[in-house]
Amino acid sequence: MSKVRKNLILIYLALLPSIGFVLTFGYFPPLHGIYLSFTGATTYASKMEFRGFNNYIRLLKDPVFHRALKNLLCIESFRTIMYTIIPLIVAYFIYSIKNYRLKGTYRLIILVQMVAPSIVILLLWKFIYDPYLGPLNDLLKILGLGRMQRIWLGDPKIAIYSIMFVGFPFVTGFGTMFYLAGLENIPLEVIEAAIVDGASKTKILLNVQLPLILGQLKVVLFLSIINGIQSYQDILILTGGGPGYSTMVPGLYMYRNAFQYEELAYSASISVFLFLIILILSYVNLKYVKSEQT
Amino acid sequence: MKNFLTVIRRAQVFLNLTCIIVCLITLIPFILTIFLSFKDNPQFFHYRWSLTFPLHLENYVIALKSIYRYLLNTVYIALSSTLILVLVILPPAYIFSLYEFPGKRICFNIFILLMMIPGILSLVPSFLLMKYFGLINTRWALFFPYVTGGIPMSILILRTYFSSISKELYESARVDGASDLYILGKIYIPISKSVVSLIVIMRLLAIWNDFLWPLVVLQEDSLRTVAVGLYYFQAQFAVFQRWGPMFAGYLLASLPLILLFIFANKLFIEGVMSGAIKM
Repeated sequence: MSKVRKNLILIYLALLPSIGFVLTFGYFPPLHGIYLSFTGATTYASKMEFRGFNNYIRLLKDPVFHRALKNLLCIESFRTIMYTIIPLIVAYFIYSIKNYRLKGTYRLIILVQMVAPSIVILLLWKFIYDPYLGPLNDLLKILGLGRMQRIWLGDPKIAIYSIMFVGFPFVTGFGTMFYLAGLENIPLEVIEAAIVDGASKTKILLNVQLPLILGQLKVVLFLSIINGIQSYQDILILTGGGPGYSTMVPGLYMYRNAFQYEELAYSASISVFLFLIILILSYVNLKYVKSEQT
Repeated sequence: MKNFLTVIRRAQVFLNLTCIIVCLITLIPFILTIFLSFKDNPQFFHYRWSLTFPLHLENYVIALKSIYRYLLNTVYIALSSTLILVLVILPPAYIFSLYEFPGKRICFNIFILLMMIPGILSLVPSFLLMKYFGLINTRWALFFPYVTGGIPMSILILRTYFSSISKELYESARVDGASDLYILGKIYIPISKSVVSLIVIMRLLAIWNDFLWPLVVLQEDSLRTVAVGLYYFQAQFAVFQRWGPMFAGYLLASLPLILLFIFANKLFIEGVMSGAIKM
């Protein structure tokens, strides 16, 4: 009996460090953040009086926040579709190529780009869009399309479209490899059986392969939506939300409120708002999307 | 039959052409960066699309002088927090896969549920917590969140893998009188080498790429990590029109990850393709 108890104590002791980390640095901050969103706290002075839903009411009336939500919807619906579908198409193409060495080369090149630090990629995009020295305007000039040159990130009408196309051609290493793994895990017998039955290539793709990698498709779709809602690093680096508020997104607005406008509680309410959206989406995903798989 | 073959061949040509175009579009920015990194200003202003001679190798020296400290800082923090992460998660993963104890489900769910909390909710309050502990502008402000950030996913992956190891192995070692520590260190870790390295690589990549958190908690230039350092480096070098060194800096900042990729390429692809990561 005492040995069992000693073992139990050892087990809990072994779990202690990781649980300690997770509770202190993982769970405490978000809970604190939710609490803050109901107070009047500013970033450098902690006035903790309770304000109820004031911050949220202000949020719902804030025209900048409306603009940010609209921008987010525009940018992320486009990007999500691109990041979900284009890697799938490329993965299918690579999968269909018969030459083994070429196949390996394509795979390697697409994987290699994962290695470039994301900050380098973003700074390169900033350079690509540079109105005077950037390759994009250079290229237009070379092609004789000088009239189409633009100040890509500085024109309020165009900046949001420039942001959408950051990451072109949208062939992510993760997505492509994930799809490719899915396609290659489909047993050959299944496809051969379909061929014997006289199915055409398109029919096999639509009726055999696509349903079998639907699981991967859902994962990529869900992850890009969740990441998209939270992402603002690219916009912070490329335009800073400008010109004006033309590329402002909720995440960046939260960041600005916390670290520049010193509106701590208000920024907390923005993050809680985004969290709720993500929570609802995760719930829908778990309840309705995932269950279809089994 | 001949017709059929030409159709297939034509399809293959089309597929290959598309893949080549896609690969070119992904590679061109990197190739241009390499070209640009060797240019002095006159070359940069007049010939941006080709390699120009003489190559200005001194650009790399200038860039390295400005960013080597950021590189060292990042390597230091990435390695130390990943090492501690691995040490911290091995025992729980081992215990979860082998033992039953009261509160097991709760403990496991504490780890897994953390993955449901999006980073955006924690950024600002985490900053406050660090401020409260007086850790702003120290490496600890990066260390603690980086260890914590890796815990849930790593425990999930490792526990899944440990559970797939045959229990007979454990039992026969037990009969021979081996302690848990011995079994974990001499049997379980060697078997799961590829999964552990997958976890390590994923964490190193994540830390190397992290931008927002170090931007917020480190104001002191001497502590900055490479992502933030590069951001300021770029602004500074663009103002002073030192274009060549700027692009050389981008390449130098990518170099460690490229080395890691070459070194661990096989392990990484194996790990990803083996389906160790299941959603």
